[in-house]
Amino acid sequence: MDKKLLDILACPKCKGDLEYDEKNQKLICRKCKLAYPIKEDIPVMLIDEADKIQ
Amino acid sequence: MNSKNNRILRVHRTKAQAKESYDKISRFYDYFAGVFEKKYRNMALERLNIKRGETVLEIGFGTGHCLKQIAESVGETGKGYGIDISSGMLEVTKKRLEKAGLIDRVELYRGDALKMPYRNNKFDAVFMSFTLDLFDTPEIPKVFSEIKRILKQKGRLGVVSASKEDGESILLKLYEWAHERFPKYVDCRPIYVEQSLKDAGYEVQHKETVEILGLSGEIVIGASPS
Repeated sequence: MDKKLLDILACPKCKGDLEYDEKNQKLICRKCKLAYPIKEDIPVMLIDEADKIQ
Repeated sequence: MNSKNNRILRVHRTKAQAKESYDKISRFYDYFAGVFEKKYRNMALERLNIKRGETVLEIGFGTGHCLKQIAESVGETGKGYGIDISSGMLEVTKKRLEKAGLIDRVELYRGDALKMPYRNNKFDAVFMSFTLDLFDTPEIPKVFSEIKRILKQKGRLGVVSASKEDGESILLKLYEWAHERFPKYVDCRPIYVEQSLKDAGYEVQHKETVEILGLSGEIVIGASPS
């Protein structure tokens, strides 16, 4: 994933910033404590399918 | 009974059911619904008048025909974005864009139009082809306000959808009966497109009525208020 995309992408829940976790292929929202998985290059930006993080 | 049938039907199926149905039909969607929709989605895209260098989002891109055209229109300096809830449709579209050599110009996401993963004021235009009519009635204004949030000032929204404006036709009544009787299969139903856009505060720039298999359709282009 191109990091420039983070300029347009936001957390679907709070519309805040996302962090790109390249190693685990996840987009992370620290505020909502949610990690959105990237599956086969496609970010899955559904709140119900995101993993909860600490 | 009131003779004027202007009540918009509700959509009685869950998002999970919608995803499941569209995943199942993604591979052969083009052979039925796609054929009828082609002419009008192309007309609507033409009216949206996408220019080189623009950032354009399609909501509910399905099998990706329009997204391919959007990628061609924005050119190398622009960017196309697509959001769809169905992973089956995503697979079909990804292959189509790869084959056309346009995948670098397009970003695909799985997501929900009611809660879009984009920042405010980012898109020059948003396009919806036979997608708005899949949302339940109370969701339609919410979809429009979410689009308004991500559109730039004076950004355009292009919608083509089954319409309820020709409220007295027998075919429309038959279609609505099928929608109520088989909600999982006849999942979209006619809505008032232009009126819903106006209600959401958009300035309507273009509107035309078309006929789809004896049913009414509307093509509407609205501009986001500044």
